[in-house]
Amino acid sequence: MAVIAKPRGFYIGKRAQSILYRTLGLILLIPGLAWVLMPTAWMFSAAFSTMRQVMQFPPDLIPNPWVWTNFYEGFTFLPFGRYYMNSLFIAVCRVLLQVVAASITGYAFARLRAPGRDFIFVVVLSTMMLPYTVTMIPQFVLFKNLGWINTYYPLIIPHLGGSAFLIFLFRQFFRTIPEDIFEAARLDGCGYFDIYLRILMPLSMPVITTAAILIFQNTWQDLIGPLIYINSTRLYTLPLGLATFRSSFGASPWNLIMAVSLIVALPPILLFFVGQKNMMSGIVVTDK
Amino acid sequence: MTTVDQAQSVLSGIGKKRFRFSLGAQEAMWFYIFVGPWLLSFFIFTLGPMLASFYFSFTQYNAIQPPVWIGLKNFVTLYNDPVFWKSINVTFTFSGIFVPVNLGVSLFLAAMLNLRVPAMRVIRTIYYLPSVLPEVVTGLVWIWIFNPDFGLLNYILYLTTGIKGPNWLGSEAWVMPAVIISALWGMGSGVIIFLAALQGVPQEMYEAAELDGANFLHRYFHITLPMISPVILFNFLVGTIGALQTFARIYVMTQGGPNYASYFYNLYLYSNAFSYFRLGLASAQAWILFVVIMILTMLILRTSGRWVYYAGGR
Repeated sequence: MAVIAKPRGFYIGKRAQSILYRTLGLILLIPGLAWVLMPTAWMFSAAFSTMRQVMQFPPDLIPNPWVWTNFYEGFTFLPFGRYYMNSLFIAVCRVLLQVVAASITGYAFARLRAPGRDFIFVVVLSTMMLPYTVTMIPQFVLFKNLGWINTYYPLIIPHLGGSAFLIFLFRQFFRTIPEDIFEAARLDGCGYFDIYLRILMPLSMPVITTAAILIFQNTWQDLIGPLIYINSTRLYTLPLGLATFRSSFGASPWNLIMAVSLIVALPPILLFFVGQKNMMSGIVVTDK
Repeated sequence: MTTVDQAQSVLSGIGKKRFRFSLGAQEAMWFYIFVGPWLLSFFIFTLGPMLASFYFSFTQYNAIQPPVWIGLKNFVTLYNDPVFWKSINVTFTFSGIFVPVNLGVSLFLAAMLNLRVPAMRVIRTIYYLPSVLPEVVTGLVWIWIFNPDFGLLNYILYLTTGIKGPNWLGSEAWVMPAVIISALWGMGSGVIIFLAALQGVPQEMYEAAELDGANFLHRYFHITLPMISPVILFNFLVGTIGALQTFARIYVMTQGGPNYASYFYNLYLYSNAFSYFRLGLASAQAWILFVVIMILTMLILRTSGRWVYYAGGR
């Protein structure tokens, strides 16, 4: 439909229009920034404040005096250094295992033809619908019978298959890689595993980074897993430690909790900053 | 020809023949090798446990003595349990408000964050920040913001309106609004997926529409929304399923209190299973939630034909 002339009261140029919309957008975004930053800013400020200042009304966001010992005290109040290493260990194991598992499964779904493939893929996707509580109790019974209570196995082993969303993510990404590359590789006698290892993986840094960040974040904040399987305090993870920190000491030492929280929040934040650029190109949602 | 040569030529002949015959079969074999680990873990950690918990839901079971078949008794117990209904009420109220609001706000935010504006990278990063923080950490921060005496929220309320704010987490009336507010704070994760979708919309479409005289709003409602509608559907589904399973945030923030006012479904399930070791009852709870989620998913997918547009005409 060609519009030749439009009766309009007034006309603003295309350029002016686009500038107008951008300015409006910016005006709408800026108050939101304050809302988003407020809790983080408060966490930061409390981590450096005295207990008295934290409890004072009206609140004062600028620490006076600046207290650096909160970090030391927080980390000795409960052995958070140990919890940190525990959490890190589980997270690294899961990132490595799940990236390998999900990428190779995603590759199979994206590029290999086999009878039953589409059906299995539907099964993969439908597991996203399944509440974790449905499998939680029999898994607990299984691991209890294996004598794996109070070990990290139950937190790592069930994820050996990757996860539905990650498999989907890898599949979508692999489908954007031109078919010609695969055909050329096949003609040169490259096996299916070699294609995955030598051709796909080097091309897939964006989606690998995205998956790694998502797995790390999920593992880092997992509370219910450790809550069920970990009893002895020396095996505690950070979320478990933080939850205990709060519940077990009547008047919560908020400045210490926030100091520890700040350090706990640091790895996911840093990872996100480093991987942010890859994250945008790693998530392919349109089907090609 | 020696016998060895003969044997070799025969063998290589077989090899060749099999190779030609089974190119497809070979591909299929590799497919199953690559998908094998997933299949194995699916049977051991998903399908097997699913069937087991289905069975447990008809039994009395405490993980020490073997399960005893009691028929539908667990379901009857739950049906007559006011706390169970309370937990359903709490969970659905939360999901019913949180999911649509979160979806709308994330969509709007993604559109804004997709504008070409100076410093957008920094602004985007700040908006993602809440979704990057561990749930336990944000839960702790919010407990403190909601503190009636020295919390930031009541201070701001006092400064701006002069109202003395409520005892948020300590009041039966205000605990749910507080939980919803704190949950809405972490809206970044949906935004990231929406942004990725927005960037997948072909630029030519906008250019063509612009030539036809469509303005920003026209383009948004007639191109952007239809093009990303499958992603809206995905976020809606995943968001609903996630919201119905809220746990960590509540465990840290309220433990379900006061007086069960924020007793989420999974919190009750968790205590039944691991505080009282009523594993049969908890399995019944899990299966009820699963059936509810299946019905909801079916309903959403059924009605989605009317508002979801698939470019490929799937």
